[in-house]
Amino acid sequence: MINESLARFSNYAIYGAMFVYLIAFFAYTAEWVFGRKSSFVVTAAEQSAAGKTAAGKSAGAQAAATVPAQAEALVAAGGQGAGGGQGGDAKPVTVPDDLSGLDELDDLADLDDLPDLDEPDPVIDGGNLRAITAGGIAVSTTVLAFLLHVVGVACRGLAAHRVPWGNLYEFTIAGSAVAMAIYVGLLFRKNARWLGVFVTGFVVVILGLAVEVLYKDAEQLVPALHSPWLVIHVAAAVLCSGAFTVATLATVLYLFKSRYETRAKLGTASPGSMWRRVPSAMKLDLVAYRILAFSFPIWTFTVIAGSIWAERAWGRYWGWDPTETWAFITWVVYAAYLHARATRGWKGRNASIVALVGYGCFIFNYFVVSIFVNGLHSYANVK
Amino acid sequence: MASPTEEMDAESLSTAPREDSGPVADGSVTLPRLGRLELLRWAWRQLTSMRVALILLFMLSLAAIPGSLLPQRSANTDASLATKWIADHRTLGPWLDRLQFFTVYKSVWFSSIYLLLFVSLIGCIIPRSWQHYKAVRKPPPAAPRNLARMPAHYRWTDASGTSVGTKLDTAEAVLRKKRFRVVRGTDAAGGGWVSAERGYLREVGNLVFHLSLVGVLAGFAVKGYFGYQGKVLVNEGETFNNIGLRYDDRDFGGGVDPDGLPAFSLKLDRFDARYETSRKAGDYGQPRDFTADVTYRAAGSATEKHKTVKTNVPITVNGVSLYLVSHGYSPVITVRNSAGTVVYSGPVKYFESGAMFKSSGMLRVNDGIKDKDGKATELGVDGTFLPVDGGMSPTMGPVSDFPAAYDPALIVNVYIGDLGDVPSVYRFDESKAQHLRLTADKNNFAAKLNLVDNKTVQLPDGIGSVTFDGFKEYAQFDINHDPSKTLVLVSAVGIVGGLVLSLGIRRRRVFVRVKPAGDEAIRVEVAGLARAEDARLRDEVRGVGRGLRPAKVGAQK
Repeated sequence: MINESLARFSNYAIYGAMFVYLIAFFAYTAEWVFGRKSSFVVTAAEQSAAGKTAAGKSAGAQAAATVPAQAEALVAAGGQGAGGGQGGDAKPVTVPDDLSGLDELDDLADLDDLPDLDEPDPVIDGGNLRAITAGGIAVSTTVLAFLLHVVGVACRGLAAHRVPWGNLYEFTIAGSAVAMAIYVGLLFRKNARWLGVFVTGFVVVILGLAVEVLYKDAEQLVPALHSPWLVIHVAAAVLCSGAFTVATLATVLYLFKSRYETRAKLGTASPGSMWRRVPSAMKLDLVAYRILAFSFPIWTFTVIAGSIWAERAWGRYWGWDPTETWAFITWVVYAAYLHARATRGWKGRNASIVALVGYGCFIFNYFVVSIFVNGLHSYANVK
Repeated sequence: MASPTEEMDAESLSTAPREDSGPVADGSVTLPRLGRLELLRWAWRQLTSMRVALILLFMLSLAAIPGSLLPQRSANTDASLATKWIADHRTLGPWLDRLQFFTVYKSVWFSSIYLLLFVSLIGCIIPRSWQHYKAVRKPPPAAPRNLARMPAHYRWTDASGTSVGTKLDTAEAVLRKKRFRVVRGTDAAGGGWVSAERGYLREVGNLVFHLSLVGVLAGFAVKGYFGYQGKVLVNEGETFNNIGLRYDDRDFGGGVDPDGLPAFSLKLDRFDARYETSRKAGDYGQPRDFTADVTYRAAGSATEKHKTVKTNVPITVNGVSLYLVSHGYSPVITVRNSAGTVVYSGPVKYFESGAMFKSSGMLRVNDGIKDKDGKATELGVDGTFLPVDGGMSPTMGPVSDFPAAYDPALIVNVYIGDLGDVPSVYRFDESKAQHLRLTADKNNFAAKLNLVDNKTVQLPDGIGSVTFDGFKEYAQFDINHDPSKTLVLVSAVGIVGGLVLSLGIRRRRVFVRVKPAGDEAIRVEVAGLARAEDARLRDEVRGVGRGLRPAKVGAQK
């Protein structure tokens, strides 16, 4: 039976999480706003990201600070991946093959670097004290809200003695928790603070939608959902929903940033632009790609696990049910993204737009198909 | 970009699909007349190019959309919805119907896209498999002369007195330990090199993935031709024999003989549905559990077996699977004629038509009925079954209070006369028939029967009577025979496995060059090159570098 008080507690936790996310969102915003008014000098890395040199690599940047003359050569040698970026074409400086006179060029010390190859973290707070405070508040409130969010999801499951993804409301709160988990993970491993304002904003909106439109009391499952595949198939779908969301945010940022970089190259970008403080387009693209390359096999697995379940429950592994069809369309579009990204002429902007279309299909399936189109997956029961 | 050798090298290592460099892409628009063979070759090259494959992928997803938004005629869906849609859209409907928009996934256009994709995939896989086979058999290429141009590159002078040979030995050992395939060579100037490559499984994964997609498509074809599916509705106490004719709805592939289905019989002993009874929960009356107890006997077997079938727990007899998908009520109706003779008596399958399992159905009696003039005619009983009689609602008509039938009522409308020519046994066309008034109420033709005090209604003019004798539950089983399942499952595993390999493994080359550099010193260079983008290439090259340099050489800087 349903544990009503636990279910109520879950609702309070979700409301609490929303509220704290909102505080985090404002704190992130404050960090951006205060950070703008800093007297901080533009760092070498930012210069390079803005298009002066192709590679925003730490090796290049450090060298630029010390021995500018050698920097070019090192960038050319060490700027792995730079050639593929949008930053421009780094003309490799020809290093004479005769190595006798080039002993100063030893980059043995470089072998001891931390394995972190990424460009320096973008500085959102710009060294401004108020911005730094706001950033601290933002991060701590994000973590607090995330914990509340997780508690909310867990209590929902405990209240009904089952996995907490039995209807669209639960799917939404669980999926947004996954998105948040990815962000918090990135935050601590890669200092992805730049993503904070967008992720928290998005999650607040999604949770609001879940609570207002999709809400359903905790209850037992309809017979069609009595299956271990509910755990497997839907868990994979929940995971993908979070991952796709974060990848999409990174893709959108990438599109803005690459436009900014093009302008910066032409000299038409505004110097106070917020885009100066997000990582380079190349890095944003890479973040999106990595998340999608990681989640695409999971999405494939989601569809396959779904077909196995469909085979058990409905007698056919594929029946072109609307939800199945749209899962397939989403799959095809993301497959096209992965192919496009490896194809010259499509890489970059075009591939990113394909990724956005893929997310569009996913969201369409999520909200429009499961609520408005009648099919076998109609478990949303939105009244 | 750089020297021609390196260019070539990077090209050969890149997984990036090659741009089509067919005769057209070369820019020569005014081609010399193409012979038939050249034209075919050109078409083949276009079809198997990455660009066309991408376009076909997009087209496939676009083509799938209408099928998800328009009602479809298939074994899993209610075909009458499509008929209704066409009737509702008088101009658009017939056109869309002609263009096969109501059978999208069997349409000519959808099939042609996926067949083209199929061919494109095969045309892509075969040459790539051959190429990869050759690449796997070939040792890694010699290290390029100038390693400084590689995307990851380190060099230093080693004055510890190690010889060139020993250094190369170490390099070989380090690389082999990292599972690289290694070759070694010497330079004219007394130096030597080691060239190593790893990640061959990436391309294997890639090929397995695409091959498995072909497997799934082949499975679809096998299923479409040799598979069959259908529905049967079995009342409690009734026995179903697996004969094509007994199917209530069927979709047989072209290679299936409807008379040669695997023989078995299945009797539904009992059907049980459980519903949410707590009024506190938002879904009072929602189904909670369905179970069907069946007795079945396979052909040639004398023993009867019992089994409980549930949603998600199908039963398989002689290779045919039966899935409990849905259920319904069959009110037991008895029709008597003017002489009081029973002309029909038995359960009539009704279909869910409203909240709380309000159901409706029709019964058509062809024989033994005479109208008031004594002429033989037909009688139709159009009924609404309420599992729990909830009275009338001004907006929704008769209402049911709960889906489990503990206080059932049957509302009947009776028609006499020409009931039209409708193929379905569950339907008749009452437009030309006479609607019999069964009550004294002027605004109402229907009679409401129950099992307690009002089981029978007498028809006017002494035509006869209709009796509600009780009800049975029926189970709807979806029957499926699909010989492609194993192939598709294996392919599915291949798809996921192939994807994980092809997205998770990086193909890299690492080169080490060692040269004598004056007395007792040697010059060591380590460099790496990756296919596609590879954020960890520098880590890898660094790792190799650390393994090669002397213990601590900070002073060298």
